[in-house]
Amino acid sequence: MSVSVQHLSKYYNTQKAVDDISFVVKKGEILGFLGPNGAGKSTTMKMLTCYLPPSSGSANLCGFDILKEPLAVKQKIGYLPENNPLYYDMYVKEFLEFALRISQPHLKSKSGSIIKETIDLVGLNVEQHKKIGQLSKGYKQRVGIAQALIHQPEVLILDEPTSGLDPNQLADIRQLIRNLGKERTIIFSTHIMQEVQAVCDKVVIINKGKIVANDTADNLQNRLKNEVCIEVEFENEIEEEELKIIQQLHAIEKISNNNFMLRGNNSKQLRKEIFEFAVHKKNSLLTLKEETQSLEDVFHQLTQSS
Amino acid sequence: MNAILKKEIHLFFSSLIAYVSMGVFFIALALNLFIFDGNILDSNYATLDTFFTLAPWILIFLIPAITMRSFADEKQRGTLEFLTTKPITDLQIVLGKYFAALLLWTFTFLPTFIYFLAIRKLSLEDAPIDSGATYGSYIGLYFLGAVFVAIGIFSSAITNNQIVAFLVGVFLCYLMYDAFYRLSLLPIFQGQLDYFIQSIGLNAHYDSISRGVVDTRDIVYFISVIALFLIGTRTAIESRKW
Repeated sequence: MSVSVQHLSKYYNTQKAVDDISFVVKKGEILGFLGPNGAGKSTTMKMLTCYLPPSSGSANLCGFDILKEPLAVKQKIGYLPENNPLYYDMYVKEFLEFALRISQPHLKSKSGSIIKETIDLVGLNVEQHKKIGQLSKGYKQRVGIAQALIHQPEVLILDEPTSGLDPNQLADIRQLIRNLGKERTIIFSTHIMQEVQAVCDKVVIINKGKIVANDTADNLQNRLKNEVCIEVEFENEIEEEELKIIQQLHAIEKISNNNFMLRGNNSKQLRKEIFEFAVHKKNSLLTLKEETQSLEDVFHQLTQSS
Repeated sequence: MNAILKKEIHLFFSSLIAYVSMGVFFIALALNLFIFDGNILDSNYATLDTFFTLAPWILIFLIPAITMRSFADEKQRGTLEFLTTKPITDLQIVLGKYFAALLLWTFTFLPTFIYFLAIRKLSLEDAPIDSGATYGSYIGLYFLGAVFVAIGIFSSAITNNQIVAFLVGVFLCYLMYDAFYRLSLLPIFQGQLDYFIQSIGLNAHYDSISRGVVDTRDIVYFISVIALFLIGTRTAIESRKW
């Protein structure tokens, strides 16, 4: 077990930022830590990286307790803080050298080759001679990831590594995380669902400091298989009340006067009834489209209801 | 600790901070010693008293200016989170920054020996400069600067605003250097507490060493004050955990 978190809580005065969360991450897994802004993702990560102590509970990383052996824990983890703080007036290589020396002060000579490998790994070759302040946001993010990687940690903790990037940079960084995850355990936080689908083995969804889902990405999507969502459009306007004759219907979501989202369990039966309803009302059916639900919907359902 | 020390030194010398601080200190004192009204060439006495009286007052402003960046900037940019999540202790970060600033103070301090050499050369053989007292004064001044560096680092750690760090630093340096001495002169303390209050301040110990007698009590005092402010700095850094 690479990371095991037990009943971790953090209070800021009376406010509960993280409320009794527990989860485990196995070696080599990529865990997506998901939640709306202010859900407690960063606070949890700060506790795992020994920046903040938990109010109660404990966590164990690679066999070391975050409270009892913080130095050993910090040796085993690489951390990219939120907003990626860097020294903008340092050169890329100079900064990586510093990050390496600070983590491994007794390292002799071969820092050059380690820095080169890391630069290759994160794809900084072209920009390696520049000052950090001169780099684009995507490359700064790579420097941040390189800094987290440089002492060859077993666990990588990345706090919103993709925030504020353009779509190309986003794809690059995701690919990078996937590659890094082949040999390492990674916990990364995000509030973007597609990212989790694209990158993660496991997902922990957190809302208001509590875990609301902890499952594999595939399982979460299967949860939705039971429910169907159908978009219908009628030629003429129609009252929401009238639609309630349809027996298979669970929920109606009004988009406009003649456009609705209908939810139910049995797709085939529901579509049939909608068609019969339209014939009965002599109101032509212009659209009948079954929507495939995404993890995005799970996210909405889990984090909005409470 | 070495990595932090190296980084800080590099930052001092790759920017203008180091050169300006060395230049300002050396030139301001040289002007007062040799050129401005009341200089030693006119007074005909081979002594560096002007230098040792004036230097602390310049340091009260100069050293907080050197150290105000130290932690305040790291806090402002968020890089303190980067440092504190690396496998080093908070004390190592504090010491790394302290010794880097101390090294810069050493480099600022050393060129002033030129004044001593110059005056020794100029003085007449039968009225030479008092070497013992001067060496003592140099030792005292070095320790005084070392205490100011600790105070400056501490002021920088309690805020994320560099200007605030500077102002608090100047105030604390003044307080430690002069205020206790002034306080002891107040009539209500006369005869009972005045000696005790004076000995809390830096001034009394600086003067004591300046007489040419390096007393272990003074050295212990300086080192204790430095340790006190560095522990305070570590506490300020760890206050995030409260």
